[in-house]
Amino acid sequence: MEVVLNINGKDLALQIEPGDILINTLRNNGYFGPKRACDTGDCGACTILLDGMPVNSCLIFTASAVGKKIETVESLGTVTNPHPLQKKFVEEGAVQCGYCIPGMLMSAKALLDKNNNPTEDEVKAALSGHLCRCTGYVKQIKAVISAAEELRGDK
Amino acid sequence: MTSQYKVVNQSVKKVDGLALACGKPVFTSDVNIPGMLCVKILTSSKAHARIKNIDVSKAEALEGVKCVLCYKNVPRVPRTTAGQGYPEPSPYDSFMFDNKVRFVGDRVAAVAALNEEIVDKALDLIEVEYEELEAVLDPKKAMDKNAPIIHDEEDCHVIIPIPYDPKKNMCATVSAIVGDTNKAIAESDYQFEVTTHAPKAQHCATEPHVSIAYLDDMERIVIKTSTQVPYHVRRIVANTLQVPIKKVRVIKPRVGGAFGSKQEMCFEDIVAMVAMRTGLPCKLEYTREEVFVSSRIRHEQYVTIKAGLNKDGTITAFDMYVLSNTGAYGSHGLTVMCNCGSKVLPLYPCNNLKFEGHAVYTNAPVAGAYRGYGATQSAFTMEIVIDQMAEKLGVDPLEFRKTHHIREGQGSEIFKALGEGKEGVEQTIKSCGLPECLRIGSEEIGWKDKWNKTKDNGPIKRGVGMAALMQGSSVPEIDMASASLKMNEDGSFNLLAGATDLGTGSDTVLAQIAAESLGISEEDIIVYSSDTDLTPFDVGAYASSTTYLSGMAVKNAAEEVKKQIVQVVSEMLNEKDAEYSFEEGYVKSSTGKKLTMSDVAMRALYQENQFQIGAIGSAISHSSPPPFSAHFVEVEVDTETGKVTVLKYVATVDCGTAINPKLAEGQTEGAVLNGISYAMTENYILNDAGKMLNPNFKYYKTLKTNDIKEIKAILIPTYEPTGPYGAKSVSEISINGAMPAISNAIYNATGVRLTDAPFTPDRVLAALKALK
Amino acid sequence: MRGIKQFAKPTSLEYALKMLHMHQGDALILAGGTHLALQKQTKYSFLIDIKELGFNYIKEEGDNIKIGATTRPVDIINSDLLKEFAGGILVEAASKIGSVLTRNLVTVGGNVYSMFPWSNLPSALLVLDASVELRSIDESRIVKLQELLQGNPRKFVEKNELITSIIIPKSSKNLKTSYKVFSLTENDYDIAILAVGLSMESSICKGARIALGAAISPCDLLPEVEKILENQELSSGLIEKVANKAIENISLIKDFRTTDQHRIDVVKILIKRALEEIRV
Repeated sequence: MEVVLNINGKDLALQIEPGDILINTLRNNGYFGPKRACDTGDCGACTILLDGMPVNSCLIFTASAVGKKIETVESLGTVTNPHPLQKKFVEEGAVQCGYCIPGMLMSAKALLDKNNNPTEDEVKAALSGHLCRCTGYVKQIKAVISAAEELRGDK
Repeated sequence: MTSQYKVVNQSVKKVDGLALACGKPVFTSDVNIPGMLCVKILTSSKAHARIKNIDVSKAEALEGVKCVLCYKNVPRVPRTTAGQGYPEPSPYDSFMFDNKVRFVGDRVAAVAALNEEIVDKALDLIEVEYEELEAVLDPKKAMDKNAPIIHDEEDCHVIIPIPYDPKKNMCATVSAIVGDTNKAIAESDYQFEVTTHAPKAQHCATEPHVSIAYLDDMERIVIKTSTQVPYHVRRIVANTLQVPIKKVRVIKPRVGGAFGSKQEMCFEDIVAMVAMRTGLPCKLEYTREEVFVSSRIRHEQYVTIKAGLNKDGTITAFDMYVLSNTGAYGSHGLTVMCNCGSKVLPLYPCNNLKFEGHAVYTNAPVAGAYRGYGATQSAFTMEIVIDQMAEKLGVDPLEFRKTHHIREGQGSEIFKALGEGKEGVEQTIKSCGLPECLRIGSEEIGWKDKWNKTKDNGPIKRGVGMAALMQGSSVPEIDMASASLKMNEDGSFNLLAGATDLGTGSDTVLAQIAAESLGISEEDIIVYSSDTDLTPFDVGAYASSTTYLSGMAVKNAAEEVKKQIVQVVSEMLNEKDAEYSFEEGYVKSSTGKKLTMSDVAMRALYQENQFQIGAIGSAISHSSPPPFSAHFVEVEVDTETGKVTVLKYVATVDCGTAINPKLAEGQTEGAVLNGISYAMTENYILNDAGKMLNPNFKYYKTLKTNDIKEIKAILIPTYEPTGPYGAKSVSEISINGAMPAISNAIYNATGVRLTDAPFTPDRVLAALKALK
Repeated sequence: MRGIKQFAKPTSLEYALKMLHMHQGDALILAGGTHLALQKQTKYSFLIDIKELGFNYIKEEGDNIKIGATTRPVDIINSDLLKEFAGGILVEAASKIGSVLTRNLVTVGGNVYSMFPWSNLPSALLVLDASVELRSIDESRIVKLQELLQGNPRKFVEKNELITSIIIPKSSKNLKTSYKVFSLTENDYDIAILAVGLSMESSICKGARIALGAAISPCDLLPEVEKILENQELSSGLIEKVANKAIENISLIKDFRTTDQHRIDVVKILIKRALEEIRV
């Protein structure tokens, strides 16, 4: 079937199978931010925003996402012009292997979009769908709080 | 923090951090080559069986199938999949495919086809006729006389002279004796005996194992793979395929975590063979279930320590026995076991030491390298024994450790007695920050106020526990690393390192070492690592060696480059006897003149007596200086449900000079969290038929942000004279503390002693009931 | 998911029901999809996505509160209406579902229909005496949730029927409630779920509804112990008695996640703690 997906603000016309899953559609079309890691919806590595809400793209049928706003980590920033979250994640040492980071950043973004001054517990809750095996989450939690400060203009 | 250094000992940004945070396609699974075949492995549903016949003809006939591999059509070459230096101390007991399967998840056949759907259909069409054999999962039972023999093939063998008796399921035995432990223990005032059980566990790197292979224009086999050991993979694959090493190139893109699970040639031989047979590019990517079942796991170990103590506080003897379950193949079987002794026994010096171990084949999934590498399992036992000793003497276990741990200038007979497949290397401790680790860590947790001060506050009890730890840095007299530096016109350098960054940040750390040495910014070092065609040799990322050993190789390369630069500069300035220093991007002469690095490069490349300024530096290690660490934990035990909550965990670490403090803290925090979940929630469950019941994150539970309260990593600086800028290792040590520290804390809170991990609520509650 | 030939996302109930009727036996209903999306292969060829039917709502309707079938846990958690209702037990239950990510996907209808032992909402809904509204092309029926669960939703719901809403009587509004779970980690499937709703007159329990989930399948009310509580003073002694009685004639799930004895102990403790919470 032919569908139009709105990915990172652009409409993209695609030929898909009706049973296709969104993570595969995204990765097959050059959006490598969502990562495959657990195959069961338990790790959050494939997280994207769907109409602003963080969700596992491995649990969504591509056809269901038609008419919705899809955002991947590629929408955040670039190496030369990173989003404050990306910048702070690197500065705080929150990125180790980096495999879980694109997904985690999307959850962090959704949090900061609605709450620009989160407490540590709120950050923990927002990131709790993500599995990271390299870190103790300490630096990631700090990075989100620090990015919030920057976004608020405190720093 | 002020530092005598400009670049090292600074938390510079990770060189690949932004690319990763921007979701760039930097991982193996992000590589997509047009026409790439999908490859999958048909795995065994039996724990132990002979394949009487396998018929792949229907699969081969299926439209779109390009290649089917099984024991009938590949060379039979015994090898080990362990990524270790040659000659490996692991037995050559596995084959690309065999006519026997030895665990549920073992290789039976592989299919390569145009897409996944066709592969799945083809896998269903393969007909396997099994003759099922009796299976044995328990390492104790595997040593029985009548136990089924797992490796009954005649061609399995070891390539170095080490004890190997596959007909008795004995993958490896080891014995090292100093003094007379039996006598010493018998004559001691107090005797101790503790046996712990450290369970199987999977590494759970977020990126599943993945490899791509294709033929280049000269029909050489190129393998892009998520590995810790590109050079070992090249050697093992070439041998398995019976092609010269020069025909194989291994490239490691970014790796999404490994922790030992990728110190292994898991399936690169298969993709290489498919590429060679078909001439087409192909990719094999494990599912999470395959990672759990078919990749590698931690060696399950029963560790017993018998010990003697006198009333005056003298530890008279330690006698350690390790029974290690290596699973169906003997990957790292001997060496993980040896590490139980060599990384734990030296911590508390005493005159009588004995270490014995059996690594036993079973029909369980294959064990391999896992962060901590045996020390995790045996520190569990040792640190309980130490707590019991303190209790027996009626002293605070913190004070007991303070007075008994190894000091600078001390050695241990065990260093020499116990190596990795050969005799060990004598060494004395040249740096030890353990006193500071103990002091600062205990203050941070509030030890004095909390230990043994449990108040009765209903069903919820609180307690604190601790552990002291040591590890090593590289395998002495075995490991080698090298790196090359090449100067560019603008004064920047290409650093080509054989070392393998797994997400650890080693590319960054090595760039910092090069930059410090050359007096430039780390931003002027362009790092490229782990490509067997381009980067010089390095054994790979394991044994806590990269910062220490590869760092030394980089420093050596930089020193050589500096000599070349000095030669050019002295020509340019026409100075014979001046001294030169490298600072802030300049070469400064003792005469007061200075040149930029770019001036030097332009002259050397374009102007006079031209040559490429560049060098390869190598390093071998003559010792394995231990990092030290003290761990403290406060727990809450719900005595009605058995649930234990870790309230606060403090890890103080002496890793010498932390080349990059933030990354070193990150390594520590990550190891701590992995250690906590190993101790508390990770339960690798096999049923009686050897099938894993929970091969997914739904039922194999690792911890997330909402499970943790507070983790604090504190670096305690020391200077290790043999390491680059005083550095020692940091990556492994901190996974070793959680099991004993939490066990000690639960004991402190409730009086219940847990020796069987993980400390799941059912076990804790059962133990509490037994106490009543 | 392989095997799906057609995907439809109807925007009206009538059209959805017509499609379901036409393709009955060959159609899968896609709500949250968190379970379906993980299946590699299906024998069904028609997928009907019901998320655009306008069933994402929480509203008051006469004597009831009505929750649309495609309402998500996140919507319940953010609902002011439910925060106040019966001590916020539904908010509590919804916040225990899956992970913070899947709570943005899962639907109420799916949680009830799939009825995995660990589904969090059914036990809370049982306590609130909820009913389920089912629609087909030519029929509409309202059944008690308990009846649906006992009948196994996959069989009980006809092939041409859709769950359209959950109906909760407002009379449950003043129940004193408690919702307790026990799990290994925060995101883990619960080993036991206990939901309690008591009508209290000062310290006297006039009526009780106690639902156990996760430890039994399907989740269910415990009428025998509910009776013990009726018209009694909610004392520590009584609570102890109830907890002991509850585990007497109960057939708990057995699996590798914990031991049988521990599961019994946990159920008992959850009952105790839930009732104690209300008592205090």
